[in-house]
Amino acid sequence: MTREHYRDDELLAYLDFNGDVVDVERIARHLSSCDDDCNERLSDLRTLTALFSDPTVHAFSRRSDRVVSRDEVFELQRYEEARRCSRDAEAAFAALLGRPVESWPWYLEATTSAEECEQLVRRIVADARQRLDRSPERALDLLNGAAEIANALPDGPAAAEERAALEKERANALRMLGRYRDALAALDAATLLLRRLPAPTYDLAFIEWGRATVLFGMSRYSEALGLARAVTRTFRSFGDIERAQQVRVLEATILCDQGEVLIARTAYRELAEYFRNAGDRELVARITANLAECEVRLDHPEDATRFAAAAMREYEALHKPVEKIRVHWSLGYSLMRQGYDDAAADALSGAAAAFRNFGMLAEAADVELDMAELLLRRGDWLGVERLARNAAAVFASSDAPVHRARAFGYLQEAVANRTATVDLVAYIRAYVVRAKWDSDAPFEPPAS
Amino acid sequence: MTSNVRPVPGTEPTSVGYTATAPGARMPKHTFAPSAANAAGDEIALTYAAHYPLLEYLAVQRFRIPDEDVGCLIHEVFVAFIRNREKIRNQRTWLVGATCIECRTYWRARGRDELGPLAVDADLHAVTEDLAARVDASIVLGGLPDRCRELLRLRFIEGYSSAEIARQFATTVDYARKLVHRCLSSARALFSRKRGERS
Repeated sequence: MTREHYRDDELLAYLDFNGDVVDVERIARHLSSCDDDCNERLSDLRTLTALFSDPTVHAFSRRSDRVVSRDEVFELQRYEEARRCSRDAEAAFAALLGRPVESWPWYLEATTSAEECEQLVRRIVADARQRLDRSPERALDLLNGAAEIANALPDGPAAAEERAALEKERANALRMLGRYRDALAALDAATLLLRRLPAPTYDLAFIEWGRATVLFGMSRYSEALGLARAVTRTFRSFGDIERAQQVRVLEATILCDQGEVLIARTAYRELAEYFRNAGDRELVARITANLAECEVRLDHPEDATRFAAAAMREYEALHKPVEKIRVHWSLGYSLMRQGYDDAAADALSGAAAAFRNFGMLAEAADVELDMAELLLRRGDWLGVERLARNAAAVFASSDAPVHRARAFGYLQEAVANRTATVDLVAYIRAYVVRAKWDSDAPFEPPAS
Repeated sequence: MTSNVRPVPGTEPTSVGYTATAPGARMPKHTFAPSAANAAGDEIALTYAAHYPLLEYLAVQRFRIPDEDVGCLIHEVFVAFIRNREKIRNQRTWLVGATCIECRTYWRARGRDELGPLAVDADLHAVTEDLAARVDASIVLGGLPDRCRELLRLRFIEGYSSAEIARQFATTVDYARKLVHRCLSSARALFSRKRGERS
């Protein structure tokens, strides 16, 4: 290269195709073989030209004499610091856990400041959140105790924030316990509290997500779907694409239950790919299990079994054996619903055996309840007798819930009398689901 | 059915404002020096300093929020940011999205609909990158000597030719071209540095 390289003003004239100032063709030839930074400078100039042509850029540059107040940052730093849990609050939390929840307000009144109480509420909510999956009843107990503490706090944005978080987790616990109306009421309370805070749109999206999930549980599909779609749009408007995709899993589930199985399947496939790329294996496992459900509903039992097996492999790799068995159980139940009795029997007996190997005898009995329905439809009374006898034996031990023992005992008797029906099995199944979260719920035999 | 996912729902900085560096060039505004203690508080201060200009540009230039209300609006966005910090993956995009929403809320409360730079299905990441480039360009302009700033305004906003610039600055056409070259070179260097800092 022999020609000198070009100055910025010459390259600018080139960009303007200004033949009066520069030899445009010559510059073009130079650029095609320049071994220095002319092309890079040209690219920068092109960008800068576009930016400097924006009047708002010039207008904003004239705001140079605005100085950010130190107080603005300091206030934010203080807000951040107040949200962290002090060692005293941690110690108070540890002391509370050893006491009955009803005694908390009196204990705290004597020992703890209002600021520590705010931190304590936050701490309890965090702890309850961890317990939700394993024991929603205990989580709700703790949250109700936290609500007593929060109600005594002086009114203000900090208290509103803590109480909103508390109500959100109460709603989650109530939903898991099947208390949907109470869950909606808790979400309403959280919404009112959040609306008192600055810029609450993002926080409210999580509340509405919870509301959509509750409505789905209540089979209010249209409302749930509309709400879920609005939540997806909100998360996208904050650039939170991953959460938007998580909510789309709920959308797909609602669509599937509404009968739009093909649309749901397409969505699940796309979402599985997204979360696979994002490295969220647990969500991939869950979506894969949902794909199995779709395939059952589309009368593709072999594809369903293949997807269920894939989900089970994921849960195996994640060291979540119980989830793995639940997938197997769910597949069996769905196959039974669609009339694929042989495949259903294989899956259900596999799941029951797996639960028994884990020592989860109550869960095994629940699976065998589904198998009993299958055998009743076939008229296999001997098979049903054996299952009913096994299930009753599980709950006959002295430490088993009395009411469940009564339910399975009733079934065993009905089978022995050859009066048991598929409807009776469904009735007992509904009771078993209810009794999981309300162990005091009595078993009442169905009206004959 | 195994079904849906559950909703899985410092100390004072030591300096604020301008710091003079080389003659004729000013450091960008909103500079903070992090304090030694309190990492979380420092992080808040740094995040505030890093993103405030972008949010201010968005609120003032794109949504036309009045000066007297901008600070309060952005402050509320940062309060919400701190409240949700643990859930946020991309801070800058989140802050831009939150500011857009608060600006629209501001105008809706005053009986106006302002969409701002975001169409209904706009790619927020792309919009954020574009806005950040404009803010960087603004900061670069603000850091240039007054004559350079005016020269670039005449060139790019008013569309002045070199001859018109020469007349405006009472000089020769050749010298006007050299001025353009010098000002653009300074701007380009500052802009590259800014972009390098950001990445």
